[in-house]
Amino acid sequence: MDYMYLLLQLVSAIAVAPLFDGISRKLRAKFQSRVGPSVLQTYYDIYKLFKRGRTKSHSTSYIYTIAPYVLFISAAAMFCALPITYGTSSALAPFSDVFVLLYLGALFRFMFIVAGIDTANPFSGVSASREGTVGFYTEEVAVICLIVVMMGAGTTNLPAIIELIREGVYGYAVPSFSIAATAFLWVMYVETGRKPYDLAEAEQELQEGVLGEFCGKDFALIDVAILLKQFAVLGFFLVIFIPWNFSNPLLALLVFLAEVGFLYVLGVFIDNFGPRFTVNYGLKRTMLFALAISCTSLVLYIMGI
Amino acid sequence: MYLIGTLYYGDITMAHTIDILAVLMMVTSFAVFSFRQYRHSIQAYAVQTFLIVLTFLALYFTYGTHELLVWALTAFVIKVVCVPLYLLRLVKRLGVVVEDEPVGGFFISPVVALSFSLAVAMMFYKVFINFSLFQDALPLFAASFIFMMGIFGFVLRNSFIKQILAYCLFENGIHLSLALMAYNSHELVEVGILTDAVFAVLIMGILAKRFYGTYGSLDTSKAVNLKG
Amino acid sequence: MHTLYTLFLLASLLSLALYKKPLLAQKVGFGLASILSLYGAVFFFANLNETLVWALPGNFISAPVFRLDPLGMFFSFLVSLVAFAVALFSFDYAKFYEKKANLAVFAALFNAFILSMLLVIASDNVFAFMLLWEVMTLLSAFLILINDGKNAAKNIMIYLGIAQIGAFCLMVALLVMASFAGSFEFSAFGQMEIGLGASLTLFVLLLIGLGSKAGMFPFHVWLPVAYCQCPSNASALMSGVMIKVALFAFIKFSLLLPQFVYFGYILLFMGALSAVFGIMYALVSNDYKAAIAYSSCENVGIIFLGLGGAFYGLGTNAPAIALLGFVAAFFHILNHAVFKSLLFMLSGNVYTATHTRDMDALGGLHKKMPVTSVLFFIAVLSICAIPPLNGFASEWVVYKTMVAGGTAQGASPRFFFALAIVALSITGAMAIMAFSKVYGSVFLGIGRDGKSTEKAQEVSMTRLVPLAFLASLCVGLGFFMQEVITLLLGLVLPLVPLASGAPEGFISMPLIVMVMLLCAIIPFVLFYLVKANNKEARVTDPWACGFLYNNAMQIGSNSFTGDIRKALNFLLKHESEVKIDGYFSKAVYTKKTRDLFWDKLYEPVVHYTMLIADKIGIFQNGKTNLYAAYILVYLCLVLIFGYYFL
Repeated sequence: MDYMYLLLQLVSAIAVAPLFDGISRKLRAKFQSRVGPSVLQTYYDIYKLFKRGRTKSHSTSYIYTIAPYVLFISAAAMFCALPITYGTSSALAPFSDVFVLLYLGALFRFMFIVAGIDTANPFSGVSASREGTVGFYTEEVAVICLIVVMMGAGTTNLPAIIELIREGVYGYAVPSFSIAATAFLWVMYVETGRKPYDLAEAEQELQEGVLGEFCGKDFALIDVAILLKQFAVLGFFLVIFIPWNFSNPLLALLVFLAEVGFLYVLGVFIDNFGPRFTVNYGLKRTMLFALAISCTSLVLYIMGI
Repeated sequence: MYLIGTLYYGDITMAHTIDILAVLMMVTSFAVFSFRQYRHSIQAYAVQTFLIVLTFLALYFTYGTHELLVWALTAFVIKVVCVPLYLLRLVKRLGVVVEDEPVGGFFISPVVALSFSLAVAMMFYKVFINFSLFQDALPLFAASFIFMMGIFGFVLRNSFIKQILAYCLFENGIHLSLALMAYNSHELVEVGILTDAVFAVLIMGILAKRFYGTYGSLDTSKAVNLKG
Repeated sequence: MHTLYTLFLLASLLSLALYKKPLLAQKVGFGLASILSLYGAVFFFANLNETLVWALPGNFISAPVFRLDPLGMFFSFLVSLVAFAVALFSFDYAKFYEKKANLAVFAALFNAFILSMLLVIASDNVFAFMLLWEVMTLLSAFLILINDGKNAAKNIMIYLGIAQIGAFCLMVALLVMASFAGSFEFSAFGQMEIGLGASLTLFVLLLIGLGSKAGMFPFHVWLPVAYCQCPSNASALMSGVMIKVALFAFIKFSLLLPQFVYFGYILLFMGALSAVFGIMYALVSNDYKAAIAYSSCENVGIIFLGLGGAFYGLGTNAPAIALLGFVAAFFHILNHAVFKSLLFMLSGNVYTATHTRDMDALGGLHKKMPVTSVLFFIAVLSICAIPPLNGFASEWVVYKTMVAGGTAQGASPRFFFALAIVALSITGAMAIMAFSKVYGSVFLGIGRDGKSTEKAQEVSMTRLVPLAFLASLCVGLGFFMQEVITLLLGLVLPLVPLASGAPEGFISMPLIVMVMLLCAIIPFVLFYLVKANNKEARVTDPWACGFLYNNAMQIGSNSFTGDIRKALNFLLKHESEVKIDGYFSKAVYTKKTRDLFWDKLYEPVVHYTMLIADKIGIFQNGKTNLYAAYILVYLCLVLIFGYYFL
């Protein structure tokens, strides 16, 4: 039964994510005084891509063939690791672990980089390098925030942590937790790969430049995978730091999807108002602030507050 | 008849004989050290060993231990006859006659060696006398003197063959000390010393030939390849 | 077990006897080594919970006794397992060194090296241990020398120099411990009554002595130098196994000391430093073998993190943390041996195919060596700790230990464990970048420098079979994580006094695999529902924004990490040099990163030692007369001394 709910969780996320993507595109257009595409535009885009033919570079190997599937699997598994429709009593509870989630994200990043190098496209190579660098910056901040939560709760298992927070044993009453929440939200925003950290829709040289050589159904699959990853990452923040949840799995799922969608669309307010940071200067500077905040929360935890 | 006579006056005359022999040995060791021609040095060495053999015989007549007789005979055969002959042959084969310049020159080095040897021998014989079986000062002094001359020969002379001779010289000193201090040791001890003499001289002789072949002369100060 | 040791000795002598026929010696020597190692692996695994004792017959000094308790059994098993794979690999690989060294000697050294490692693990006596330790170091130095080259002598000197410093510290520590315990047998070291100061000093000495052999920071400088110099099968053996022998000795001796909590803190700190610095240098390296070698340093750091947690648990009487820490450390030791030897052997394949170690000249090898490429991918996934492979399994247990330790009250444990987790996660992020770079630059894309990759071809089956075996071990150890942990718990329980039950709350790798498979079905369902376009993809040149594509446009290994290099500029010192010979000729751009600690720590020491040695060298003027005079003076001094003082 748990697996049915898990499947439902995943499928509904896949079904709903493009809708939120469309809403955010419409909102961005409105900010820019344009009419903008229809709210259902992302669905149309993905459908069109499925129908198109494909071209590939002559240097590619099996990595190019399996990359879309592995990216999808890792993103979907990341999303499945969020204990929305299941709790500590489920058979799936051992699967939902903080480090499993982080390292599935590592699998996603690894595959992204390797696929970029495989195509021998100069721009995808550069963007693969950039993807690795962004990962290097964001990883520590995320982990520092998570350390505070995990050590405070005494376990790495997500459902167990959520239960402790919900019961009030651990939570915003502990100052280190609250400060960690801020830094974590910031990092999760960076991980979604939107401006000013990266431009999700541009092609050459930027993060999604890796996808420059992918087309047709591969590209559609990767698009869905990226959407799923963004949702998983935002959901990670929600699940730990805003654990409003219900015991009925369907209701929990609906509320969760609404929350994530809301956050995703809210991202437009940050996304729309500036250009992309350069990786050496802008990214490093802003991440230093996030690092400082998360270190503060860690120091508070160490001192026992 | 003569034998009985020596037994009666044995102790006193024997003691004198051994003293005279000791002084002669000191002189010959100085000779071995300082002669420039190899032939002369080797002959002086043969004379000295002969003197040692005579000392052994004198000791034998005084104390009567048969080991001393065996030692005297073996030492005569090996050290008076074989070793000098071997060395003479070596010198002839290599075709050298005169030694190269030693450390400090031909005049200074004997003086230095002589004075230091005398000084050190003074110190040593006082120690030896405590454990020696033969309680006469002069021969013990001579033994240490010969030993130190040998070592100084090694330190101060540059020629390979001279160093072999110096080695034999201090080996003589050891032999003499053994005979004086512990003359009733087993024959095997003698064998130890003689093996030393024979093998060391043989091996060093071969090395001398090789050395001459590589460096063109017997001057050991030319072999400074291992300089630090 | 003595049959095994004697057989190894015989195998070594036999290969030496076949001096005149190198190729036959190669087959015989390495073949025997692989059979014996397989037998050894099975034997040690079967006897994993027993203790075997054997005394060396004959009248040797100090009557050496060899004892294998379960800990020793586990490590002997590990040694044999890896040796089996490497020996099978060398069966065909060693012939590339035919011109550099006699293969009979190579095979003999190989067998002798395995034997010495097994004997070190089993030694029960201080003298036997130190003797065999030095023999092991010397044999490994000879193995490095097999690949004689331009800088071989210098590299070996660096290795031996650091090994000697380590051996010195180790010897001092062991002798002090023996004097406290009153006997030279390890089994009698049992309970020593020493205070905090002495215990801490001994611990630090042991750490320096054995950590330098294991490749712990800052004594790791010999690792890349030695591993790049030696032939790949030797580096697989050295990195996979010799490091583990050093770690085994460290665990064994540290457990004999009375435990304090500071041990754990020191280990956590050093482990964190090793991990971060190791992977940092791997990241910026342009030589794939050096990258893999630095990554050994990183993994040793991770093992020390696990051990730090374990010793912390022992020092504060928290048996749960101690158990977890030991299980984590041993699991990672097992995994590291498997995937590191796999990586080194694969790099050996690449080197023999292309004869270059520069990643900026390689590329596109997947087309020529597909099997090697896939195996390398599996090995790289393992080392980057990607689920569901074994690297992730052991790193997860390390994380669990850290979290368990960090929940304690008190600022110091929290600080150290938090530091450990931060270091580990930074390492993870950098490892992904480093190894994706290695894999991508070597196997993917198109050859950047056409010449090196032209003649490459896939290697023979005998070389691929042991590699496939190790790769399947990578997958298997990850998948059967729970069973391995149970086995290791049984091994570790005797080491931790007051241990009550087995720790719980582990993840389940089969569950992860199942979820991933479930997710894998969805794309195909989606394709079916949408009636996706399933036609073959059309092949063309990569898109270069309208320009004509050429190979040099790809990203290379140097440029891949350019941004991170700039970010880490304060720690890495690199020298970049641009030579321009006029407008129309090519510009040459070189960039080199020097190991920071080489300049700060080792250069001054070497410089001063040379200065002092030069001054002392005046004594040695080469004339034998002077040397004889030295002897004379010495004798006189000794006589005077004896006369007056004794």
